[in-house]
Amino acid sequence: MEAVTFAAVQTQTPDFWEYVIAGYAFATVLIGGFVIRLVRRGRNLARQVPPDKRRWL
Amino acid sequence: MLADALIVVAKDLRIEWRSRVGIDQLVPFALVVLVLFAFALDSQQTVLAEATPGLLWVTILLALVLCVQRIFVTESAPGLTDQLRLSGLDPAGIFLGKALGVFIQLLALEVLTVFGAAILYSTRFGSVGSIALMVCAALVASVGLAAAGALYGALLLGVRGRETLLPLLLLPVVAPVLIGATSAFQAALGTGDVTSVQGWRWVGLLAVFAVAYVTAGIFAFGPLLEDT
Amino acid sequence: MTSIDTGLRAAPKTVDAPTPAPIGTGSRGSRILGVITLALTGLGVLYGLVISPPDANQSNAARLLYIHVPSAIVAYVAFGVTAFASIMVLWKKTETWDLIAASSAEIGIVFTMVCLATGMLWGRPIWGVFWTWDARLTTTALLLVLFVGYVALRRALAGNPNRAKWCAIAGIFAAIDVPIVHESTTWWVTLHQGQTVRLLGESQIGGTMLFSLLIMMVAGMCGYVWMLIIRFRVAFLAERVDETAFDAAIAERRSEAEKSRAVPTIATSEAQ
Repeated sequence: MEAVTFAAVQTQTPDFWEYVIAGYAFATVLIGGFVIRLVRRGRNLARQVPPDKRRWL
Repeated sequence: MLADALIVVAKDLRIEWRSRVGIDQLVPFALVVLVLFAFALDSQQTVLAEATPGLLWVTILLALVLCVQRIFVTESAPGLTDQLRLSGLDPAGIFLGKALGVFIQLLALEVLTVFGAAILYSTRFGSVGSIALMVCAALVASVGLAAAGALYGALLLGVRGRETLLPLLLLPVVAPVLIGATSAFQAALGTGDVTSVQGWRWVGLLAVFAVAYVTAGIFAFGPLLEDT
Repeated sequence: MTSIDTGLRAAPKTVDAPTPAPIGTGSRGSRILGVITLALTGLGVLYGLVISPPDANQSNAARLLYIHVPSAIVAYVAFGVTAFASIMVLWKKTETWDLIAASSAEIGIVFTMVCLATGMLWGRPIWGVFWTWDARLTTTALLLVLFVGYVALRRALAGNPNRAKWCAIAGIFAAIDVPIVHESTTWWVTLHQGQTVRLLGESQIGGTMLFSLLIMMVAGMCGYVWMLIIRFRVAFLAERVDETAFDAAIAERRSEAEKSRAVPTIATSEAQ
C-alpha cells in the first residue's frame, strides 16, 4: 500500500519531458527543414549556372 | 529645404481637399472603427472607458496606413517619381512635405476621434495639466507616425503588392508609438496605473522616436528617390 | 537510331567529367564547418538531454534552455549582421553585402522562431503560461515581425534594379527601431508590473549545465556561419540564373529581330 502511494507521488512530480521533446523536435524540424531546402535549392540552381561562375573560395 | 516642403505639402493638401477622399472616407472610417470597438468590447462602457486610450491609438494607426497610401497615390502613377526627382525639389524637402501632409491629416483625425470617443465611450477629461499631456503626446506621436509613414510610403512606391506590404512593414515599426502614446493617454485620463510623471517620460520616448525617424527620412530620401 | 540515342545520353557525362566545379553549394571549407557543426550539435544534444542533470527548480525543463539561449544569441547576431551589411550596401554598393544582408535576415528569422517556440514550451511548465508580456519576449516577437517584413519586401522587389538600395534602407529603419522597441517594452512592462521573470530561477548554473550551454552556443554559431555561407551561395546562384535568363531572353529577341530584318533586306536587294 505504501509502495503504491509512493509510486503515485513519484509519477505526479512533473518531469516536463513532453515539453523538452517537443522543443527539441520543433528545433530539429525547423532548422533541419531549412537546411535541407537550402541545399536542394543550391543543387538545383547550380545545375543552371555554368561552372566557371560558381567557384567557391 | 523647408520651402520645398511647403510646396509639396500645399500641393498634396490641395489635391486632398479637392478629391474629398479624406473627408468622405477617412473620417467615416475612423468613426466606424470606434463603433466596431464598442461592439466588440462592451455595451456597459466599463471596459470601453478603461480601454479608451488603446482603442484611440489603434484607430489612429489604422487610419495612418490609409493616410500614407492616399498621399502617395498621387505619386504612384508610372513616371511620376521621375518627375518628382526632376522637379529640382530637395529630396529632404519632399520627405518633410509628405510627412507634414500626413501629420496634418493625422492631427485632424485625432481631434475627431477624441471627440468621438468622448461621446461614444463617455470619456472624462481631467485637469488642465492632463489635457496638456494629451496634446503634447498626440503632437509628438503624430510627428513620429507621419515621418515613419512617409518613409515607408516612399520606399514602397511602385512595388508590387504595396497595399498589403505597407501595413506589414509600417505597423511593427510604429509599435513603440502605440505603446508610448497609449501609456501617456492612460496617464492623462487616469484609466491605467500610470502616473502623470511617467506619462511625460513616455512623451520623451515618443520624441526620441520622432527625432530618429525624421532624421532617418531626411538622410534616406535622396538615395530612396534617385535611380541606380 | 539507337546509336544516336546512346550518343546523346553519353554526351553530358563526357562534358561534365573534366570540370571539377562543385555540384552544389558546398566547398571544402563549408563541408569541414558543416561536419564540425553536426558533431558539436550531436555532443550538445547528448549533454543537454542525457549527461547534464535536471535542474533543482525546473527539473528537465531547463534542458530547453540549451536550445533557447543559443538560438536567441544567434538570432540577435544574425539581425545585427543584416543591419551592418545594410549599411555596407549603401556605402560600398556591392552585390556581396546585399546578399549577405538578405541571407542573414532569413537565418535570423528561423532562429528567432526556434527561440520563441522553445521559450514558450519552457514557459508553460515554469510560469504556467505559454506567453507573458515580458519585455524580452515582446521585443523578440516584434523583431521577428520587423524582419519578416524585410524579407517580404525583398521578395516583392525581385527583379527591381533598386532592390539592394531600398532593402538596405528598410533594413536600417528596422534596426533603428529595435532599441526603441526594447526601451518602450521595458518601461511598459515595469509600469504594468507583470510577472517578474528570472531566466534561470534561484538555482546556480552548475558545471555540466554550463558546459552543455557553451557547447550548444558554439554549435549554434558554427551552424549560423555555415548557413550564411550556403544561403549566400544560393542567393548568388539565383542572381546568376536570373542574369542568364535575362541574357538568353535578350539574345532570343535579338535573333528574332535579326531574322525579321533579314527578310526585307533580301527583298530590297532583289528589287534593285
